[in-house]
Amino acid sequence: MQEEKKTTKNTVWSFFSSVRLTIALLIIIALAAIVGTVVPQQDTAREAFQKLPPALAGVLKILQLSDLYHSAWFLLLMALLTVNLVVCSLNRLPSSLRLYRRKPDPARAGLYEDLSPDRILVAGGSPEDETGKMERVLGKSFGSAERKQTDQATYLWGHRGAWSYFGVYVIHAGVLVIILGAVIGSILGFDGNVNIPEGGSADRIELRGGKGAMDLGFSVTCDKFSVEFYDSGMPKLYQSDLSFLRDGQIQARGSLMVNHPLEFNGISFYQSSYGAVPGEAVLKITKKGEQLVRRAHQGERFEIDGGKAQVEILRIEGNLMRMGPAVKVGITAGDRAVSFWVFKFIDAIEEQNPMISKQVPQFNPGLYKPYLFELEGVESSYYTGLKVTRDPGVPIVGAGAFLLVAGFLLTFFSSHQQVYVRVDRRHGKTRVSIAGRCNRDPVKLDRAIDKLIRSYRGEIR
Amino acid sequence: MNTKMLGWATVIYLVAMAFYLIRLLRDDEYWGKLATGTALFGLFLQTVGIGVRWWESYRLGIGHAPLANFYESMIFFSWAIMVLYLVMEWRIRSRVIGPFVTPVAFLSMAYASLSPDEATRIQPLIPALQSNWLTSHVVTCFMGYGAFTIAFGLGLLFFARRFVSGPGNPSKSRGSLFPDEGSIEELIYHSTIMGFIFLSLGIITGAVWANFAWGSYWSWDPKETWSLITWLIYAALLHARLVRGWRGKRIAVMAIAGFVSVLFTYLGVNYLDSLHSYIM
Repeated sequence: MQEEKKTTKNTVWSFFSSVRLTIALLIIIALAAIVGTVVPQQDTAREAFQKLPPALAGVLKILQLSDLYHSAWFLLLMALLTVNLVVCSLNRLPSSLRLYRRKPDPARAGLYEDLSPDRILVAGGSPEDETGKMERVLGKSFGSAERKQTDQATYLWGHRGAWSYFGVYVIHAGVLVIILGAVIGSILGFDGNVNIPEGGSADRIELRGGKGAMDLGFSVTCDKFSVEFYDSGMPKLYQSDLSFLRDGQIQARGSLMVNHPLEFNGISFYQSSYGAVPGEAVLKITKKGEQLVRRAHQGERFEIDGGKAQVEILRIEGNLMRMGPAVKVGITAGDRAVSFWVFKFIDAIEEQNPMISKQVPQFNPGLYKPYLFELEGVESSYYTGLKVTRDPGVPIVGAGAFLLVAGFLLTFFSSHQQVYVRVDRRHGKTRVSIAGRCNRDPVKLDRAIDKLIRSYRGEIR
Repeated sequence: MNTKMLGWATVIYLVAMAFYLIRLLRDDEYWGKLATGTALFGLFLQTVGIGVRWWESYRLGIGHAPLANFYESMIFFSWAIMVLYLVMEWRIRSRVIGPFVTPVAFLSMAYASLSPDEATRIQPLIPALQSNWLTSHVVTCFMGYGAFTIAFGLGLLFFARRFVSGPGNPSKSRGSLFPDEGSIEELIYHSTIMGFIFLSLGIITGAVWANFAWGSYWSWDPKETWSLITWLIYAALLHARLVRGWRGKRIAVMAIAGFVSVLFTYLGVNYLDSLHSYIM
């Protein structure tokens, strides 16, 4: 039983310690991500899927393709990659530690064979003197040198950059920390939108992905919204002046611009969009000799005809059916109720369709006799579109990115360079042979040894 | 002024490309030196052109680095390829990659010069692009694309060599024109590392910027997703080589596949609905 458990554990461990699995997962995740860029996602998916045959839409829904990057199977792939990364790193760490701690024998066979002639120097001094010189030079550029004495020769070993064995673990740690930050952000954070008309305020936001609304616990007022345009009509700058209120008291104020978010109470606000909303409608109401000009918002009610009739502004449109500004009014007088549209450009509309107000009573601005309604205009006002988020994972992801870059530098721009020196006597002269070993970038090591020889020669002369 | 200079640089790159090709076919270093000289002159003209464009944008009162629209990005793409290529030519003391890399630089410039006049004009920045992160993000991304282009050129070289002299490393015959397969693959590996680091930096700077501008460091926007796909492909290449010991043909194939992904990240994404679409 015990034995069986152990083998299962070993099978699972060896499955996850395979780099073949890593490569397969990297490619599968890449392919899955491609699918997600082709199939509409989230909000756009809801509209697009309605046009599809129900069977196909059903399949796409079961595969969670409309929110692929948050689907169970995609998260599973990411989880597998994470486990794979951890297991592989743990599996390889001991051998890297061994390499890091290893003290190789500078007298081992084969090291000084096949050296190029410029790596074998003939020196004038005694072996003892030359070893001392070389030890100093080696110590200067490689930190320290270890000495080994045999009957035939004296050996030196110097090395630097042994920590480069750990660069790859720093990279992997960086990736894991980024994933950790993303997970923390998705659990503890939120992400939503709110549109606030200029002068208006909001204390709730709409969460992204149709997850409902959320109370902020304070309210945000858009005191002023301004937008500037270039001559070409492109927006140059847009800005919302916001106040943050709690219990009716202003706690903070600030100007919000694109690329310059504001933070209040740990929640970040971003200027993400803006738009125009129809504001007040200006109506002119006439009855033989009597004239009334009235400004009203959508939903507002007022009385005419000496209180006998109630007028309600049902809708205000900036551009209804491409016929310009229009207002729908509803009038109730006792048990009589009518509703009709009042267009600003009614004269032009009637010129094109002379019979329209007769044929379509809804378009007849004189439907409530004897009053005639005219629309002077609709004043448009701006709303500001804010993105509202809280993501406690951001600093963690940042730390992960930092580790990732540090790991790249360690892995790709540093190497463990080892220099072995043998000093012995040959044909009555002192001979210094220099060999090098490294885990990567042999050209760099060659240059380092050239430099070493130059400074050693400098001491000879 | 600047577009005229950039137009001339395009023509000069075409000439350099022809010289590199003649050098390869005739095996004559005379043409090689001519090619390098021409390429250097083209790069000089292009650099000045970009500098003048930058300066002109300040004179117009809308000063920004010329990295803000599709036209400018193609110019910079070509610049990055040429800088990285010429540095590599100097480091490895061989001109053999030239015929495979200069065409990409030339095509990028040529495609840019086909843009309608309106697109080549210096345009002011929309609010989302008014950020200090614009320059570092675009420069790192395109240096990455440039390095991957060189890896791609080397991948082509690898197969061109096989086509001419068969697999393996014959010592004589026409195959000697080319470096041996091992060296080509080693260079693919080094260019890929360079590209991978730059792409990572590009994604990181982009994430920082997105966190300021869009309120989220990652939104699975198609361009973001495709940059991740590209990153994953090259990560797979590096792991395959470093740990699984893949060599030669497989690495060359992956370098070419990776470049297809780079092109899609750069160009293809514009046909998808993307937050990055103002680059078009």
